[in-house]
Amino acid sequence: MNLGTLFSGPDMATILMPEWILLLGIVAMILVPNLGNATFRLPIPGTSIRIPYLIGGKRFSVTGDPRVPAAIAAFTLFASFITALLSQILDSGVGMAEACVTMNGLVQDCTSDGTHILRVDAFSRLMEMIFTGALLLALIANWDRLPATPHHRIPLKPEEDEIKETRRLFRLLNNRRQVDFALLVLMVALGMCTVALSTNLFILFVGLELASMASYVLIAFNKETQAGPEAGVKYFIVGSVASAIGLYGISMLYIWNGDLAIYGSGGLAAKWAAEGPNGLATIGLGMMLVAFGFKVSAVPFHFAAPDAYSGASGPVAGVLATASKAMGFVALMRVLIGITLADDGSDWTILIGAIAAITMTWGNIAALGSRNPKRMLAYSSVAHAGYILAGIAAIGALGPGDGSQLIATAIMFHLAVLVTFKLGAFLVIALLECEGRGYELEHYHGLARRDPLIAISMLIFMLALAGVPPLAGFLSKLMMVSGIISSTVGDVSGSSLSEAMGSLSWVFWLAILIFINSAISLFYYLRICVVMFYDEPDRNLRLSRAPMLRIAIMLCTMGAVVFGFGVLADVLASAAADAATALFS
Amino acid sequence: MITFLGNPLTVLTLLPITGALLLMLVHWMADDEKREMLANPIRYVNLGIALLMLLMATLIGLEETFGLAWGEYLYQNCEVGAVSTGSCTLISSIGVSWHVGIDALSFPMVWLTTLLIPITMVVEWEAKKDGPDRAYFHSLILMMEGALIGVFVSLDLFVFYVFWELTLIPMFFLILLWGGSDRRYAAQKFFIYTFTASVFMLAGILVMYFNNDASWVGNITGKSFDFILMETSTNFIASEGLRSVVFLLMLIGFATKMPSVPVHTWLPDAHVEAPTAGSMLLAGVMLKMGAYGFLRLGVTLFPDQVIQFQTLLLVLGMVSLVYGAVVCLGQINLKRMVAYSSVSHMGLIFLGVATLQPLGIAGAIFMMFAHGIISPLLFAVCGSFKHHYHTLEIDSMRGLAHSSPWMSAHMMVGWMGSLGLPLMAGFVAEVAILIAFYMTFGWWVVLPALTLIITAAYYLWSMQRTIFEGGGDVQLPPTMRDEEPRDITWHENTGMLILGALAVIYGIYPDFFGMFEMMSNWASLLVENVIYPPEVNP
Amino acid sequence: MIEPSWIAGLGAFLFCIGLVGVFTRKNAIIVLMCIEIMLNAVNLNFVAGAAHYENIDGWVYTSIAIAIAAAEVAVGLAIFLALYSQRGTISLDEVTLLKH
Repeated sequence: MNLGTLFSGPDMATILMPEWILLLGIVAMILVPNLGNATFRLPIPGTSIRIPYLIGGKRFSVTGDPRVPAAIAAFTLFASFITALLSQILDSGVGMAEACVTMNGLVQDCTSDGTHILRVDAFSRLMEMIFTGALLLALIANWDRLPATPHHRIPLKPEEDEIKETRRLFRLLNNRRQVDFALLVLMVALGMCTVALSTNLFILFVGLELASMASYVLIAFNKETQAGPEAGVKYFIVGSVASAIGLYGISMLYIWNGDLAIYGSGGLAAKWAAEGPNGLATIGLGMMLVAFGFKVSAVPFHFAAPDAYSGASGPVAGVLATASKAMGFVALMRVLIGITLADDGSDWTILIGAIAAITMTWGNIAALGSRNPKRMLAYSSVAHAGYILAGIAAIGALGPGDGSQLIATAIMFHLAVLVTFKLGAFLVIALLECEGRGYELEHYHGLARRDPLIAISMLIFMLALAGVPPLAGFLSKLMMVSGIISSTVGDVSGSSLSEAMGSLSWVFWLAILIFINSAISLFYYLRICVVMFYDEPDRNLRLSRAPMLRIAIMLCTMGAVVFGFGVLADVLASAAADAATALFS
Repeated sequence: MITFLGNPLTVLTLLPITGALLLMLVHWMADDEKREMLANPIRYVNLGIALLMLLMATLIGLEETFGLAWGEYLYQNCEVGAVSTGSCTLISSIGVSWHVGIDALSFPMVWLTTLLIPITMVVEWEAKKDGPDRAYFHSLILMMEGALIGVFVSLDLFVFYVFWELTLIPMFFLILLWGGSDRRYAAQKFFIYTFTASVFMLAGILVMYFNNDASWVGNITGKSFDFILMETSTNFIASEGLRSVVFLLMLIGFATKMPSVPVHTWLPDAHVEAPTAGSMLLAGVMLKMGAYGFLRLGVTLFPDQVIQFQTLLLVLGMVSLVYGAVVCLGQINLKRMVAYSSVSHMGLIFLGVATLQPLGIAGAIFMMFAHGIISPLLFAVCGSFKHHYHTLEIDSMRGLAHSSPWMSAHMMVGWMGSLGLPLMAGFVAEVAILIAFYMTFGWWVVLPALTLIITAAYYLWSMQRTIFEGGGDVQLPPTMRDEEPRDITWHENTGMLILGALAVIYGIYPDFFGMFEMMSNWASLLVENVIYPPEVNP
Repeated sequence: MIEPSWIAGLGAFLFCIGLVGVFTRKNAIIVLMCIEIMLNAVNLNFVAGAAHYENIDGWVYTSIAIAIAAAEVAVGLAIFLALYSQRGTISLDEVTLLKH
């Protein structure tokens, strides 16, 4: 393909508008903050005509403003979000809403034959909105400079040292690196959007890597702190091993099929349906599950997640727990639903079911014992991954049908609303991090007295995470479980209690396990609520002003409430339903 | 007449919640000086809304005579069968609608709620805590009212469940912020226990949701959460065995809320630590949610399972009755004592339902109502005892009647009602249940009857000791130090007088405001139509 | 000409070496090198596939995978450097602050 074809027709530009905007944003991010009054003198002897070439020199006051990078990035993400939204609203069902891009850069109808690498439909649009939305919130939260947690569970030095250390950190963590941060966030966004669009495993993987590598740097971003680099190293090593394994799995699938497209006549799904997998394909798929399992922090691959979350700053940890996890699930669904669902009696179903059961239980139990709210939230996001995996296992067990579509809808809905309350909770932590705290349960004591609005937001987030109605977390969990339970329809026979219990599908017990686990999870979510409202604060200062961070928290709070009950919940649910239909088509 | 504001039930549900939220917001937005000033008006507004609610509920009762046919609901906001097309859809993509209605089972509960809320507000007019927090206390109670009424009037199971859980949140804060010394533990235990139980109920609801014929064309699942659609659906959970599974799942949820014995342990803790108003509402209405849900969902939708698990219900009821009574004997903490007597009474409700007689079920419903009047009275007395004597150890007191005559009068009335002495509301319910029990199980009735009589005797003796013994020498509890014993304040007295009067009125004339007739109508129609349905001619 | 299956076999062998190295070595740089070995195994697989099916996709994938590996090294070394400048070590045994 040559560059010319990229802009050959209006199609390419319009259907990939959100991604173009992100790309332009990245370019602008590199250029704009560097604009200055640099000039160069024409090398003509005797003249002193200086021609300004603008890159470098003394920066203009506008472009030198430390808030410029955040503003550019926020604008870019917002524009990208809005274009995705508009294209979904305006074109739903016709024209551009279902379009595919081929390997050589042509836009085609998806039904036409050819190896497609990108596919724009309701599913990818919804996912783009989730990704850009989450990153936008994180970026808004990061608008005011966010100092890192100075002492992360490290034995405190004497008092004066602490003050000195804090000062040093504040000096270091000024806005010099705002550009880097915003740039990395945009790269994460671009990578994630690529994952959402791609229907070719390799392209999917490239997107995944782009997003992952940018997020490794984001985790280690506060490199002056003790925790930052350590978290980055751990996450980087585990992450890149996982992705190497995943890439090896992909290469095995390539050897098996000779084509890495998922759909289409020569695609993996067609071959899987026609011939069934051989050993090579099964092992390859399993290895890919390792990579994606790491991204969603499912249990055997979860161990880097809590460290990474607690080392990263609040908004970044929030992104990891929401958008990054959603990206993992997109990949997982593309692979498992796209490729293997065609073959009935999928072997991986039981495996995923077992992983789901272990993941949710283990996550909850670990969260119970954790005194650092950030780690607690990390474990709780492990548990949430377990719930979603249970849904995916149920899809595998039920096969294509109404129940599976309902579960897929629920997963999408869950990933969308997770952005509101999970990210929100991390943003509240970020607000406490502004005063160098937030990594101990004690720091949340009496938050209701120090700042009632933030405390109530946190309460809403915690209850939503636990799945208490009428908040968004409840609706998503309910839809997930109801999808699983719909397997009882017509499936269960027997006139006595024991016969009926025996004939219930094992998936039903996954649903019950989800219920039991959400009851367990109440313990630690309530603990935070209780200390906020019950205990006396150990300091009476108001929390940092950080207006943009507060705005982001308020947005999340509103989202957690309005997506739980009422009209907007309905709108989002139907969008998720459309996405699920697109995924299964 | 009362429909001028739209649907009265919608107003009853949403007005308290929005009102309470607004009042809290107003108070929160004000700056510090204004807050102090606003606290009092906010309390009055809260009380005003609560009284308005009572007026509305009473008007609903007066307007309708409640000679209803089976399965007829009044004041529905959309036509049955048209929920999916009508204007009342809420989350149409999964089949949730805002569908409310009231019938002879829910009206007594709604009226009881609206009655109790202003009384609890008046009784605990001075919320314990000083400072600005006080203003939130009454708002939380008002919020509670909306959620409780929502549970009783919603005919959509999703909304039912939402309100069911929503009641936990204000109660959680009432206990956590205004409770006794161990309130933190009690509040968490209360929340986790009841939430855990209700998720089992939710599992049951979801199985019901999928396994019926009623359809909602055009949404994701094609099903509706509407209760009436499920009830009238022809193919409601085809498999007998699955129905048993669902019935048991629901039973876990309801039995915990009621609470019945193996899962009752949250109740004493919550009661002891809750503020007076919280205990009153907890005992008066929240426990009834369990019984109401059991009758509404358990018995109405799963009549065969009630027959099948009759023994289980009997055992649960009997064990709760005896265990509650026995443990109650051993308590020296007044509130704990009342709490266990509640467990005992809730056991009677199960017994009443297990008889499968119209009289027994009517008795059970009347027990819900009577207990909803008497136990708040007792808790109000406990609260004032704690308030004026700084202890709940009832044994440390002798001769209460000399120092606080009003309080001891109310205490006597409360205990007499609770023990089911004749001419009190509890008596009517107990007699109805026992007669039905005799009709079904014959002389086994001796068991519950003896339990009731023995405990009654014990309590009368114990009360007599506390209240009257000691001649002229009053023995005060050590916590009093040198304080002069006082009688209850006038607002405590007002609330208690109303409750006591109602307890007596319903004892003498159970049909006051049409209550008993309404309930027995409902019960006999339930038995006729659902439990032993007439053979349908082919 | 070498059989594609031999190439793939070499790839599998390399992959195993890399995997074992990742789990046994404690020096971050060596771990990074092991990851690179794994990625090279992937490249060999792609090459083998491309040779077997005689299509060009595999070559494209290989060249992009090399770029990915290079980016990975860049990111990894940067993070290791940050750790080193702070702790003076890059032994993975000694990064144990974040335990709870």
